[in-house]
Amino acid sequence: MPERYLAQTVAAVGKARKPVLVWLQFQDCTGCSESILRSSHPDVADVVLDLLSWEYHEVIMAGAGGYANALLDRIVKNEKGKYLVVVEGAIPTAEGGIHCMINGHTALEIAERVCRNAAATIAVGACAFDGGLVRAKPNPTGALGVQEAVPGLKVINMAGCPHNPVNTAAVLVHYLTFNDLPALDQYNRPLFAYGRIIHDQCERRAHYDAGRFVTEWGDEGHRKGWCLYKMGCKGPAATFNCPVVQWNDHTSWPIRAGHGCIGCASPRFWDTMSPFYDRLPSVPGFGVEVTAGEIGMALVGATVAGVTAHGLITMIKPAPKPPVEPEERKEA
Amino acid sequence: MPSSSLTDPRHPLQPIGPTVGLYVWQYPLRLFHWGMVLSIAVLSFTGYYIHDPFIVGQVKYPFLMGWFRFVHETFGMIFLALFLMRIALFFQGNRWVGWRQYVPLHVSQWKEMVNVMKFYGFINPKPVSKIGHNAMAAFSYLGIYAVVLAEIVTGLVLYNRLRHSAVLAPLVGWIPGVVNVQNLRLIHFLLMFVFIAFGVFHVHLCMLISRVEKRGLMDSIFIGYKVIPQDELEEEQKKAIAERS
Repeated sequence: MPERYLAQTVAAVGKARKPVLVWLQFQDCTGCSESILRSSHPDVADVVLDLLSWEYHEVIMAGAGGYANALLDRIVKNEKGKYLVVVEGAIPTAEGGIHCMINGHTALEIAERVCRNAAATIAVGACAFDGGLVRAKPNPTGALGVQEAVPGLKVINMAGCPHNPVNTAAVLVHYLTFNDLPALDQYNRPLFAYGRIIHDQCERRAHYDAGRFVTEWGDEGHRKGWCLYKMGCKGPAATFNCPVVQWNDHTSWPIRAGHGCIGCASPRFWDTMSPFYDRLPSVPGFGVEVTAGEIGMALVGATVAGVTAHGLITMIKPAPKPPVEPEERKEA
Repeated sequence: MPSSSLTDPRHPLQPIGPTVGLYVWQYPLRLFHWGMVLSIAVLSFTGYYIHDPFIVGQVKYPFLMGWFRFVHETFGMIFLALFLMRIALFFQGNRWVGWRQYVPLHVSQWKEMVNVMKFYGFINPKPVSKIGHNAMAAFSYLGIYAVVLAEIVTGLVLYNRLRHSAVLAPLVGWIPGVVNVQNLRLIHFLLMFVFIAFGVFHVHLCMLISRVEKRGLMDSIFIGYKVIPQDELEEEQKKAIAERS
């Protein structure tokens, strides 16, 4: 956020009345909760104690059972239209949504009730964004992201596996300051975080431009930190601010650690960005071992063989008789 | 002692009656044709390198991939310009490059295709000789133009993702929301092989027909002129007048 908003931000953050925040968790690995616990700009203690009234979050809250349920009911009733809700995890829809139930209610029922009454919904992580891992083929539980499972919500998607807590904290602070969500892209992801291709921000980009590539894990290029393009890095296809904000308090990020990007903040990335270690998807109907290049080469090879055979037959066959002369044609 | 006759007995004289040299392929079409040959060759080579950089770890050229991409993008724009020129020729060119020749709307065109295939399948000894393209060739060119369009659209989507062009974004920016960008990349790559396979086919069939027809088919794409029997030209003239009225 620009510096001229500092006073406004401080004022907003220091407001007496803190908005209530509810954190719902459905089908996921809790990685997004783990991630927000490692947020340091601001750190989670500040967020929980000072910025927001973080009242419901199954993983970190003290209450449990009937007390927790009563608390959620009270927030939905008393804070209607004022509280923020963060959703983590996918929402199953197959077989009536029975694959994820809390207190006898399906995830879909809980999301409908809590999100519909909220001021805004923040879907964190790939699962809440579009179903993530849970929705990857064959998607046995019919999992969906929040915006598809509960259509018509005012929702902001913090895609990524997990979401980057720096971005989520930024959205929360933006909301506190302006009482509105930041500018969004076509997938309802905030543009400030998802507007640019990873490849364009990558610290290894110079190696790409120079043609210095890792060709095998652990080879000389890999040890020297060359570009991971040939190892199937999806940086050129994915948008995220991962190279800039990085992870775990700006410690590192996948490509710095020597692993290609898997496009975790992209829509349906488990299905669309795989195979993670190949540049292009496998061609349907040819199995995973056959690359697109091999199929293309085979097509060209077959064509060359075909025309060679055709040409040989043409040469072996006697040349056609000369056309009938015009005089003869007149006589006939 | 060699025979004084100028005729090779294995290749007897082929009388073809009174003929004229007809200017069939206007220079914009020939420019399009050779521009396509050049740009497809350059785009295929640079594109393949971008797909699979086979020169790795060199130190002599510190912007090698950058250059490959620059050349690829530049020739991509030339490719686009040539395609737009060809679309204009569908409406502004002469009779043999106009869209009517390419879109098989008439039964006669489909019948002609069958006859052409009979020649290729060694059933008919004589090819279907036309002033412009035969119906089969024309239809296959329509197909290859569709491939050109697909290549251009997928290419522009990928270009726009990196450049965030204000012109391209509204035109093609919505496409990755429908077809995933990795699949677009796959299509863009696989269609390259269609061009190469087409090129092999195209040269083979042109050589074949040129050899049997003896009307200067191969020459015509360089000089524009084809050797046409006078009576065929008159027939075509009558047809053109009938179509006009």
